[in-house]
Amino acid sequence: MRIDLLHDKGLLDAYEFPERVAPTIRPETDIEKTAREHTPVPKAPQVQPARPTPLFSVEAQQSPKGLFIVLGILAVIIILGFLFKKGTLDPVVSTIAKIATKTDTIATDTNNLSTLLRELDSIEAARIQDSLSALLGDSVLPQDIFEQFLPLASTHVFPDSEMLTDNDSVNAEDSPTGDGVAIITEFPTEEIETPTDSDVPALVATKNDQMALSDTIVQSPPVQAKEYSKTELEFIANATMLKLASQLLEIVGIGNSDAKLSLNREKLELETKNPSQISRDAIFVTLKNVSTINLNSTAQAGRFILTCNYENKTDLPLQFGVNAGDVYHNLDGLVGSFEHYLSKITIDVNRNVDNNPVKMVFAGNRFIIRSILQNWAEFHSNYILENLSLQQQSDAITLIADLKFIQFDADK
Amino acid sequence: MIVAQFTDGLVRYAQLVDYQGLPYIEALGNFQTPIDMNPSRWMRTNIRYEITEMVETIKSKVDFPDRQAVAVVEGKWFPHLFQKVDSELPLEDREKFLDWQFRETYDLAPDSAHIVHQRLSGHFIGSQLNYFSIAIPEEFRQAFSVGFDKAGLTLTRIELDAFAAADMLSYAGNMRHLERILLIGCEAVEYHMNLIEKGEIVGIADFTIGHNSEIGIDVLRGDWSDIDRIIIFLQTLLKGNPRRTSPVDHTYIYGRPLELDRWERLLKGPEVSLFNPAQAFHLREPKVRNSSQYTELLGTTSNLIRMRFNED
Repeated sequence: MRIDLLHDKGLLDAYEFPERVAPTIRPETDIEKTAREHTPVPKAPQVQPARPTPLFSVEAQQSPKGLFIVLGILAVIIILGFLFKKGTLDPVVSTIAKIATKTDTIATDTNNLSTLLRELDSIEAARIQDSLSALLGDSVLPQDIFEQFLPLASTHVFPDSEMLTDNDSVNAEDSPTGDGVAIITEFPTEEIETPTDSDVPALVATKNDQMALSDTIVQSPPVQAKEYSKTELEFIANATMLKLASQLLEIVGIGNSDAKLSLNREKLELETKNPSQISRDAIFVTLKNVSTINLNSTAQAGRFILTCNYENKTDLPLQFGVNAGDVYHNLDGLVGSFEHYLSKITIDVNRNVDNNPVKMVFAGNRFIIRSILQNWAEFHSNYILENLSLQQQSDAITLIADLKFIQFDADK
Repeated sequence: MIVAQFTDGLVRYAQLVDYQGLPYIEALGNFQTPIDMNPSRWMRTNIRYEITEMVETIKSKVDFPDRQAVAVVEGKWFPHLFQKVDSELPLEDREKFLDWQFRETYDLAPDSAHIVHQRLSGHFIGSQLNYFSIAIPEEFRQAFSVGFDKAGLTLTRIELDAFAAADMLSYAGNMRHLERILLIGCEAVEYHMNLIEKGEIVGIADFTIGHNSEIGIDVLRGDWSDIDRIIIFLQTLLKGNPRRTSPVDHTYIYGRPLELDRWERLLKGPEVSLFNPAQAFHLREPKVRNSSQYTELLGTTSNLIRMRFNED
C-alpha cells in the first residue's frame, strides 16, 4: 500500500500498481467488454432510495432561459429599427444629438486647455509638498531617535585599523580567557606586491576554488565518524562530485563541444580549449587552452575529505582594471561581515617571507563558511589564495586561508 | 466508509458501502469551503475545529452514519523529493542517508517532521534505487486525527493526491507498464502533472497556464529530463495545433469542469483523452456530472476496495 501520511515513518517497501483488477470488483471497461462480450457485466443492485423522488427531473429544471433572453433582445432591436425608420423616434434622436453637441461645446470652449492643465499640476505639486512637510516636520529625524531605531552595525574587526596602516602588519587572536576580546599584536611593515601577468591565472583560480568549495561544503555531511559507513561516504562523495560536475558544465556551457568533463567515483576533471565563450564567467577564465582543474574526494575512516588542486598551464595577458587599496583596508573589508566567526588573523609570523601572506582562521557551521567563501569570491579580487584548508569537527568547520594581497597598478 | 479529499477551497467526499459483497459508492459530491488549508496553519489550534466542521458537513450529506474515514490531501502542502540511493547501502544507512539528504535540501530542523521514504519499483537503473520522500509535521497528523475524532469519525489513513490519481489510472485498467503516461489534473488555478513510466510515478509537477497558453512551472520534482518537449507539447495542445507530436505514449486529463473546458475541445488525438473514473465503479447515481474531478478521491476509494474486496 502507498504512503499513509497518518502513520508511516522511515523506509517503505516498494509497491507496484496492479495491472489488472478482478472484474467482480469493478465494472469492465469498454475495451474489456469488446474483448469478452460473453461475460455478463455485474449490474448495479437495486437499492431503495433513501430520499423521496424529486417532483421535477433535473432535465426539466434546465429551461432554455438563455434562448428566451436572446430572442427578447432581438425583438426589441427589430421594433426600435422599425420605429426609427417610420420617424417616430425623431424627437428622441434630436434630444440626444443636442446633448452631445452641448458636451462638445464645453470642450471646445476651454481652448486654453494646456494652461488649465498646468494650473492643475501646480496645485497638485503644492498639495504634495504640503503633505510632505507635515509628515517630516521642520527638520530631519533627531540623531538620538535615529540611533535608537537604527543602530549602526559594528562591521569593523579592528576599530582602529586605519590607524595601523603605517605598520602594515598585525596579529589578532582570541583572548585565552575566552571573553571575546581579541589580542592584537603588531608586526613590522611589509611590502605590498604588485601582480605580474603570471599572477592573473592564480587570481582567477582563487575565485574558482572558493566558489567550488563553498558549494561543496554545504553538500558535505556533518562528520559523525561512527555513524557513516565507508560505502555511504563514498556515495556521498560521488553525489557531491556529480553536483559539482553539473555546476561546472553549467558554467562552461553544456553545449560547448570543446569542454571535456570526466568523472568517476573519486575524481572529476574538466578541460576546455575554447575559453572565449566562457570568459564572461570570470571564475573559469583560466581554464583556457590545456588547463585543468582536478577535484579529488576520498572517504576515509568516517571523514569526508575533498581536496581541490589547480594546475595552471596558461599564460594570459593582464586584463584587469585599476583596483587600489592597501592590505589593511582589504583585510577589514574581507573579514568585516564575519567578525563573529573570526578566531585568528596572522600576518607573517613564522614563515619569514618577504611578501604579505595572511593567515585567517574562521570557525562556524558550514553555511557560515560557505557564506564567507562566496562573499570573498564575489566582492574581492585583490588577493591570491595560496592555501585553503577545511577542518571538520562535528558540525563545525574551521577554515584556514593563506592569502596574499596584491595591488593593481593603474599604468599597466 | 467515508473518503474525503481536502483541497484549497473545495472538499470532495465519497461514501463506500458493502452491498451484498459488492463495493458500491452510495454518495459522491463536493462543497466549497472558505477555510484556508495553508500548511503554515497546522500549528494553530482552530484548524482542528475547522476540519471538524468540514467533516460534519460531509456527514450531513450522507444518508446513514459511517464510522471509518480516509482522507486525501495535497502533496504540495509538504516538502517532498525524489531521491536516489545506492542499493549497496544497508537499510539502516540508507535511511540515514535519505534522511540527511532530505533535511539538507529543505534545511529541516531535526525532529521537526516525520520523513517517509516510499521506494519506487518501476524506474530502476543499475545499482541505484529510487525513493519518493515526504516530510509530515506532527501538527498535521494531530490536526486531522483530532478534527475527525471530534466529528465522530475515526480517521484510518491519509493518502497523497498524486499517488491516488495514479492508483485510479491503475484501477481503471489504463496503467500499462510499458507506456510512458502523463496525467494532468486541473484544479482551480493550478494544474498538477504526474509522469508515469513503467507503471511508476517518476515525476511530480505543478504548473499554471498564463496568457497565450504559456505554461509556467511552479514545482518540479523527479525525473523530468524532457520537460521542454512536454511543455511544448502541452502548449501546442492548448493552442489547438493539430500537428503535435507527443513525447509520451498517452496523456490523461482530469479535473474541475470549468478548467477542463479549455482542454476538452482539443482532445481529438488518439494520444490524449479525458479521464472518466466513474465508469470503473458501481454508483448509486450512475449519471454523475463531471466525474472526472473525482479522480483522486476515487483513486483512494479504489485502494479501499482492493483492501476489502480483493478476491485473493
